[in-house]
Amino acid sequence: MASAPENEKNASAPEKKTLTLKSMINNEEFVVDEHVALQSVTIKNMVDSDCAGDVIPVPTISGEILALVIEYCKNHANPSASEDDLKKADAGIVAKDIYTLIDLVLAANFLDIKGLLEVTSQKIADSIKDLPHQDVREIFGVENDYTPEEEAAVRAEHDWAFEGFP
Amino acid sequence: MDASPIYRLPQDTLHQIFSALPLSQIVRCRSVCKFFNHTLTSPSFLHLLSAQPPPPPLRLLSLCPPSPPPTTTIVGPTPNPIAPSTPSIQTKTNGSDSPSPSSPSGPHTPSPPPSDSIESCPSSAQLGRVTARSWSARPTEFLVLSELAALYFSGSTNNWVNFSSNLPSKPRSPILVSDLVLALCDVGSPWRSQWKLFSCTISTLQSSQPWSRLEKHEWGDVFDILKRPRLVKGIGNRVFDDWGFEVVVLPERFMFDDSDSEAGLGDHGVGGGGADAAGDVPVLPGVEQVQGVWGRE
Repeated sequence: MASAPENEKNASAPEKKTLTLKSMINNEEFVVDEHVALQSVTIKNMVDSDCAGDVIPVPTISGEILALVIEYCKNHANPSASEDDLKKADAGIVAKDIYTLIDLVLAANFLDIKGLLEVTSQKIADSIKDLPHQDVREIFGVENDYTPEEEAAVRAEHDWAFEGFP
Repeated sequence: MDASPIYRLPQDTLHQIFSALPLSQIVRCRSVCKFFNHTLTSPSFLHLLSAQPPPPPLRLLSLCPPSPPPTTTIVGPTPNPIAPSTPSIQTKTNGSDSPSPSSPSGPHTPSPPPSDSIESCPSSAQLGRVTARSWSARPTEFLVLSELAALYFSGSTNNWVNFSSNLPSKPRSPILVSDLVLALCDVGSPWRSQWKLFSCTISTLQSSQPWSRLEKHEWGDVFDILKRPRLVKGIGNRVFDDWGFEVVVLPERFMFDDSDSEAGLGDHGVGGGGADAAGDVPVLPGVEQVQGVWGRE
């Protein structure tokens, strides 16, 4: 039966290989084309070294974030996407609140997706640009652990940077 | 403390985020909390800032001028190159330290105290018209630079050393930072100035091609914008402990028309001497792209 494997080949070629990514936080599963998932260097290394089973568990990344990551990878795996399209799509993906962005940058870091890491980092940086440090505290939810004297000393070191800031 | 998610970010990710910010913002963020201060002063972060992209090891970061350090200046513009008058050594201190070097000895080791004349320097005649000056925070170190020759005095060796120089034009506002010499030269035409930054070290001054031209894409056309830019040495060991110094580029009069541009520096005069710049030199919002502090790794 020479035709059976032939058929199988034909069937599998256009269908492409898929991988299933599973968020270990809420057990959500995502089926993605392999070439999409392979933009993650972490996943690529797993696949290359045959460590990847049918389902790849992704620890510490929620389904919501994983969906964003996959959206990014899909966009960037599309060879017909223009530079402009990609920029717009990236901007849409990172148009999120700061906590989502921090989760996203963590995910990009864990999955080792350079482009996503860059756009997310840039977006986080943009969100605190030109702001006084008190606002930066608020945005990141960081508590001031300086004593007033310590804070004044750190600030006095570079008073020029505070010109026009409270 | 209820941990902010920012604390969960690995160090290199934090570095990546903050390195995308302008220098003034980075400095302000040090006041956010101890963790930020630690992150933003860590050697690896400073290295990242200074190392992107790779050599030359100088980077234009910001033109936010700190208050001027105590400076020792050699100024020697002699109006007539044919009959050179005596260039004078001018020493200027803003701090309490007197820049007077300890008394040198030996026949060829003239002392450069405040009131002394460079005439006593054996090689001054060969320099012809001395057009440049050097600022050094170290009071016992002097450099006189012209396009043809450089004259260097070090208090540690107590003698003047004469080097030939090969700069493309009269150097402008050279500065001495550690053993690094930086100067601006006009490589443009008589009709249109084009300032470029040149550097060498005291040790390489002895070689035949000591000067290298420093250009960096991210500096953009800062020198062209500034018309007659001038280098000013910042206060070492302040902003960038690891690099040890900053260099500031200022326009001649530090004046921009601020009516029609975001980059307006306003009317804050910093030109002329350093005395009027005491401490409250304005930081110029929105001019990060034309700002420049050089740091060395």
